[in-house]
Amino acid sequence: MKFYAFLKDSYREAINGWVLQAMLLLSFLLVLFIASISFRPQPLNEQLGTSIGFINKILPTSPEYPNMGSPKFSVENFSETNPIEPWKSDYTFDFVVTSPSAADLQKAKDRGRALPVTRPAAERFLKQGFDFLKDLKVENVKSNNPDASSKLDPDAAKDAAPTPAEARFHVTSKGTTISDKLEWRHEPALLFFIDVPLLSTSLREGVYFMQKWLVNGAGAWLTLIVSIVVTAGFIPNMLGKGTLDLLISKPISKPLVLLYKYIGGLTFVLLVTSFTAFGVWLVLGVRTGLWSPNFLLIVPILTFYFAILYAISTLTAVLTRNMLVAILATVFAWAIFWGIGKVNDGICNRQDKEAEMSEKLQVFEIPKPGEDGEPPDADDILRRLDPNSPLWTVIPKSTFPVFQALHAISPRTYDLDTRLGRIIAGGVLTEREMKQNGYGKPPRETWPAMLLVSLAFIMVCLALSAYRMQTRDG
Amino acid sequence: MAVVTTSDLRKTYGDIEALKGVTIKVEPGEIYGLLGQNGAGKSTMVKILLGIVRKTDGEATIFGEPAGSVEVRRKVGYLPEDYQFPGYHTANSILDFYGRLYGLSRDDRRRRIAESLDIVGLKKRANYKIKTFSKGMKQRLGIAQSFFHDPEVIFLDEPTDGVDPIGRKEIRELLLQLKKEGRTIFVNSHLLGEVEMISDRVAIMHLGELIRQGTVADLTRQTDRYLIGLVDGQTFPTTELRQHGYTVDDKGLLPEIEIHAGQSIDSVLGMLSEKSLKLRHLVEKKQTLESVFMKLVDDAEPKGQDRRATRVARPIDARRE
Repeated sequence: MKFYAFLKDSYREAINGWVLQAMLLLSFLLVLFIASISFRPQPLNEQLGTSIGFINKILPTSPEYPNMGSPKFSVENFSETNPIEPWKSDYTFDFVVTSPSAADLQKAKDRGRALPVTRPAAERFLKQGFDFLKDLKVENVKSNNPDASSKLDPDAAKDAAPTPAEARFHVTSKGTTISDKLEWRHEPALLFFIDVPLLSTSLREGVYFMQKWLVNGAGAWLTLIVSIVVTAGFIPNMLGKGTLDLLISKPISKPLVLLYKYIGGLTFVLLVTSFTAFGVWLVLGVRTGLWSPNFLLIVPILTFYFAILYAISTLTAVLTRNMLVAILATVFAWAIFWGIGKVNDGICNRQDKEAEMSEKLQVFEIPKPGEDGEPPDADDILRRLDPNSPLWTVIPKSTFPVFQALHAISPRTYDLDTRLGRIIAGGVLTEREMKQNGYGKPPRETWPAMLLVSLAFIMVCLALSAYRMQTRDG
Repeated sequence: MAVVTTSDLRKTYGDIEALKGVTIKVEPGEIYGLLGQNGAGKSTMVKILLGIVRKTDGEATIFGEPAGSVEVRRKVGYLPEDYQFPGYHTANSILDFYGRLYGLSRDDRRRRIAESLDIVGLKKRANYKIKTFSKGMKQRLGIAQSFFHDPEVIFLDEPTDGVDPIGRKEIRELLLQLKKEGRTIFVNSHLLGEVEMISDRVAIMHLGELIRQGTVADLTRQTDRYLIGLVDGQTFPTTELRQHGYTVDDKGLLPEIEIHAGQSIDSVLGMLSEKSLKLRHLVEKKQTLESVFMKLVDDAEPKGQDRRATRVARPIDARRE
């Protein structure tokens, strides 16, 4: 009953300044914004058009463009076997390169790998950009169509010489590597009607982007900052002259008062995060059909993340009884913990790379002396990579143990954040997309390490706060 | 069993001795007034009794249990000095919050909150935010929160501070009513007149020490001083009494006579009778509590020192503790 009383009291305090309402409104707007984003499966010809149109726009802006042979790219004779489910379709089309003259086309071909004007280059371009097309075959089609300019866009026609030259490649593919609609590239539309073809991505990637960057990134950051500010006043207000005396004259111990007030602050974040996460999860599920339960883990993880920050705020508030100092100390500690986590991550990445390099060098086929000169020495190569160089050019290697020791004892806000990103990704992305987003390797930090160290930190902060409360007069 | 007992209770803040071995006993059902200047140690003592401040030494019990324990606080109501309710509460919600802390059931809370707000005249403002209340209304709400959970003893620290005369009268009546219901009331105040009107017993504290304790009647009684009134038209024998060694002050409405050692009021009455003077009034003169207080404080003050200059007060740092 006492706990519920404090919970209700904290709720009253939060709604009194309209901050909770404002936060919920912001959350609602975020949910609404995400609900306004629609995804339309983008047919392959549109995808090709977007990519090629982009090249056709960018390339002429280069001063080297005339020396490149002023090529223009287009797709012709496009056909597909399954327009309803494009990921199940076979495709055939002509990939066409047109230059103002045969000499210009030759110039373009002379650029070699840089431009998709030869068959191998065109194949490479298509395989890189449209790697999901199975059995992609690109064949030369002998052609020097004098009327090619008529099939070009007006800009190309304007620049075309009297005898434009054309290179034509016939492209065929049998099915795709994509198993479902979610992996197929989609074109998003913001605010219900603003098409953004350049942001086209797989539906999974689109959902991942929104969950990771809009909600867990900007949204969570804003939520945490506002929550720190709002809840920082809870304990100093309670400890204010006249208020605390009334409270602790009631049959409740001081540490319990503090604990309940602390939990009250966490509830604020739990409420806002739950509202946002469930809202976003719901609208994304409805809009995309992608119901990732992983995303909902943002609620407990973000609340736990805030619990770390709020423990600092609580301790500072008990020691100083000053809301502003509590806010500043919390934000400062947050930055410090993030910095420690980031540096530790950098150190670990570097160690991993060094180990990987060393391992590769160990299995390196060592040329026999006299055949290819001196065999490479692993340590020698590592030395040449300068393993003693400062991390990111500013953090000396001699400080690495200090950072690692600090990381070992400090709460793992950075690791929690990166792990949450991985969890969200794991809920929506395919294995291939996971690798593309940097989640190829297993996570470095274990859950017990992250939770136990962070939990220990919270408990130390709360124990110190409770001790101060208990031993303080009034 | 005494409701409140302290024995050689001491409290120090650094070098400052706020309580220097105070011993009191408060009996059930009485209104006990603790008097003293600001900084005399009154609030410190109450806070120790409630567990808000830790004692340095000595004993303090309520109902025989160590003062300040959670169990004891269940039986106690408290109105602190300079308290502040969270502004986001209404009268109703703050009492509901405190009621939950006391473990009152929902029905009990509902009934007692309504009753107590009615008693202090705030029933109609029950659902108004406290920040809209006047000082007097807040004080009445403060008193309501001190007794709404039906405590056995109520500690009130300066309960009439900042309240207008009508409000003070209402509070006095309320305290008398609570006393009538059998509750023990412990009042801290520097408003001597207020305490004099309602207290059964008072204690006077000065510089952290208890310098006097007793019933109001005991403290204000002035032995060996009498006011004597004769029938209209008769002349009081001032000169003759002075010749017999009595001190007579005839400047007031009634002559005042002071009896010294070896003298008695009976002798005076005998002299008046011998002169065939007819007596209409004979009153043993009483002092006001204020004059008793001033005299006691002056007597307790080290000679040659200004009373206020030597007053014990917690230093600023200690107050922030």
